[in-house]
Amino acid sequence: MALKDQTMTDTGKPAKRPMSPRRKRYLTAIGLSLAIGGLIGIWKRAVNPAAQDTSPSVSGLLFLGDATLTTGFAIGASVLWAIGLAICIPLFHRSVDDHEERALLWAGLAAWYAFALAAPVWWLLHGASLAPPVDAMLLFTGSIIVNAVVYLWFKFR
Amino acid sequence: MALLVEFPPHRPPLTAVENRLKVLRAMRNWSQAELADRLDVSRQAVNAIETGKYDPSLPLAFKLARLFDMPIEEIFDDGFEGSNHD
Repeated sequence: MALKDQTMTDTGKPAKRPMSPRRKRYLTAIGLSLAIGGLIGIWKRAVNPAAQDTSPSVSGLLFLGDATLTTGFAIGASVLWAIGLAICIPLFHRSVDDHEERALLWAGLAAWYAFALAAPVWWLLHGASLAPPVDAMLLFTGSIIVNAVVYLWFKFR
Repeated sequence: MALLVEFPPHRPPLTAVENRLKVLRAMRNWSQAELADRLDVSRQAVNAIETGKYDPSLPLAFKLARLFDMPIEEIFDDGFEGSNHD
């Protein structure tokens, strides 16, 4: 009722409203995720001399390769990733509106289907020596790309 | 072949729901961003509802009805003109 009273009489340009708690949580979750990703990327670049000679984008691709990692970085990045996501994911999902939730649900389903189609085929082909061993990170990357494309399409089409 | 390229696969809705959101918003001189702000949703959500690409959840439909001070049926129309008791 308060919402109705507040808005029905105001047909002019509304004053700039303070950011809602939902939007604050939303931006915090995204900012935190970017910070964690950035931190892991910078850290990886710092401890991997080969990555320092390449552009950040190539370095990002090398990140998913099977190069040997230092113990400290492997443990630290794993902890950052697991704990960071465990904090960001609930914060993010408590903040999305139902339009975005729908985009996320379809994107997640599409990503799962991409994985479910690709992984067994690759595994079977490898069993007959027709393909190299299954690369989990390549499957992960493919699923993430499908997820991102479908999410962006549903959100911004 | 269509199934492979169309995601999600086309499924005819039970009823095609239309809405007057764009008109109601224009009557109040609100931008999509202003309406989104009042509903506490994203501007993309308002745009998707207005263009018929997305039907809002029941809670959001009620929120819209309260904001515009009118019944949900006056904002959304599923084209049903018969009697519920047939």
